[in-house]
Amino acid sequence: MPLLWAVVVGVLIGAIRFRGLGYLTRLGIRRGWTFIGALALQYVSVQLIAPGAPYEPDLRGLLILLGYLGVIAGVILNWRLVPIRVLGLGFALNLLAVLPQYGYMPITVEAYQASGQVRPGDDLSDGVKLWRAKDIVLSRERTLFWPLTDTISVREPTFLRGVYSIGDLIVATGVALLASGVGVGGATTVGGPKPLE
Amino acid sequence: MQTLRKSYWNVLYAVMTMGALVLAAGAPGEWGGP
Repeated sequence: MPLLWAVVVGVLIGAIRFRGLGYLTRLGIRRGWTFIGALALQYVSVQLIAPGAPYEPDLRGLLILLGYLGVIAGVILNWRLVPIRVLGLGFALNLLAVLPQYGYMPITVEAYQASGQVRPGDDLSDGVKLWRAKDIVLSRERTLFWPLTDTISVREPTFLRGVYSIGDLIVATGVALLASGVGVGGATTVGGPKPLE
Repeated sequence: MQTLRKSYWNVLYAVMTMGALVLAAGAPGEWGGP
């Protein structure tokens, strides 16, 4: 789960800025359970429900989309936080890429192979939905909004190994900003240490 | 002691929320796949 590094990096920066982790209690995230619920739903669907037939809508994709509804709700409820707006932009780009495929993120065979994650015996025919992932293998020609799909392959370092979309990178930036305490300050820091800057 | 425990919980909650957020909003195929 390489994108979790965005949280780690953000918290490290925040811990230096605010000289401790106390600022994390003042981030002002409302209804955080909407995000946790959204992830839980996606996790269950990806781990426990088998992918359906190629190209066709299926229950797994529907549940992934339902999870996205939770994210949308959480983003709207926290719109006053600037990092959430950044994240919302990345999420909107991802959503645009997955909607034409009923919830699945298109990925080309080339991009998948370039990340070094293909296992022997993997079926990578066009239209196949990958196990334990939210992706569908799709040629570039068949992909609507190709530039917004999983196109950025990272093989090394291994802790960042994966295939990312532009939306993913913007989401990671938004979360890193949030975790580093951007927006925490002014009146909300009364009683706590001030940022170093 | 109770305040301290509440603070730990709030920090944990914030970290969990942000982790869930980055995985749910982005990272398609984060779980063992692309």
